[in-house]
Amino acid sequence: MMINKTLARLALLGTVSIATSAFAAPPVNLEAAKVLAQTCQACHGADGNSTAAIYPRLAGQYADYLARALQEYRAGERNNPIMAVYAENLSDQDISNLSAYFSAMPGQLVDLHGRMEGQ
Amino acid sequence: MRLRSACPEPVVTSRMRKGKPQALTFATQIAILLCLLQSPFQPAGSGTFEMTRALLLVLALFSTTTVLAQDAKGDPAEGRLKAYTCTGCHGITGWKNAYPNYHVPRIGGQNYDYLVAALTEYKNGGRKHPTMRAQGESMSDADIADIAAFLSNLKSAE
Ligand code: HEC
Ligand code: HEC
Repeated sequence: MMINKTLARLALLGTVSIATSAFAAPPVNLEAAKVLAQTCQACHGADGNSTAAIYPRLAGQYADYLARALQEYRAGERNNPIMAVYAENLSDQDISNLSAYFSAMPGQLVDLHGRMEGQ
Repeated sequence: MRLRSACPEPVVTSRMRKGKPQALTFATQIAILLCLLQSPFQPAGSGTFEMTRALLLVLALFSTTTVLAQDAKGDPAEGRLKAYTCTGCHGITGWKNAYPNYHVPRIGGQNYDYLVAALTEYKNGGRKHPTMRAQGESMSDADIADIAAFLSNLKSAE
């Protein structure tokens, strides 16, 4: 009885999460992203690990955060004259492609969990 | 403004013209400097034009060197102490911003100069996120430099 209920709940949860993820993320095209990413390479590096300190590292950053940032540059809500030029003509699909692409690259970005105590 | 006619896009973009005055990035300053050097203003010969050009050049040079002079990095040990308040959001793996829903960014191991620029943009309103704006406004330039020094020294374990 208990097991059946639990199973039913799990199944329900599964359907819900599949449904929401289908809504949230349009299918990502990494091949298209690879081509578009050549525009970004000069500043952010081919793999998103910018070596010039004035440019942010994109490799390993959360994809949804990168997408949010690009939408803000495109809308002018983040006021940056350089990125405004590069985000201006990106479609929503381009943005989710590029964000998934750079997020999947290996990099050195970390959150601060467990980083506050000594070295 | 004279710069507009003399410099090609994207050095002076439409957004810059429309937007509030903002601190120019180092890269933008260099670009303006270069284009001032290359493109003569209007018909030369008239003394006022030459004067304006020389003046602008001096100004551009001055602001560039100011940025260079500020290049000294902050103190990472100080930055570690000052970054405690940040862990509430940036220290919880997978933590999300609500409305709209997206992950709080990973900031450890990010590049120093970029971190300084990003925090300064929250401070002066170039970026709009409300809680990060509040964080930025409460920081001095020295706080920003210290925190950026601490954060940029962090790297993933491998
Ligand atoms: C000419 C150099 C240059 C090019 C080319 C460029 N960027 Fe940027 N990018 C920048 C700079 C400078 C910033 C930091 C802007 C700021 O201070 O907000 C930035 C910021 C970003 C951010 C925000 C990162 C964060 O952590 O918030 C994203 C995302 C981004 N760029 C993606 C791209 C993509 C995708 C492309 C190619 C389509 C691209 N950039 C091309 C210079 C560039
Ligand atoms: C209430 C939660 C919260 C707190 C506390 C907080 N942050 Fe943030 N931080 C965010 C969110 C959300 C973003 C993404 C904002 C955006 O979309 O522009 C962000 C963005 C940033 C960025 C930009 C990252 C990038 O790649 O451009 C930096 C740098 C940053 N925070 C540093 C700090 C520091 C330093 C502190 C402590 C002094 C701090 N934050 C405290 C939530 C927080």
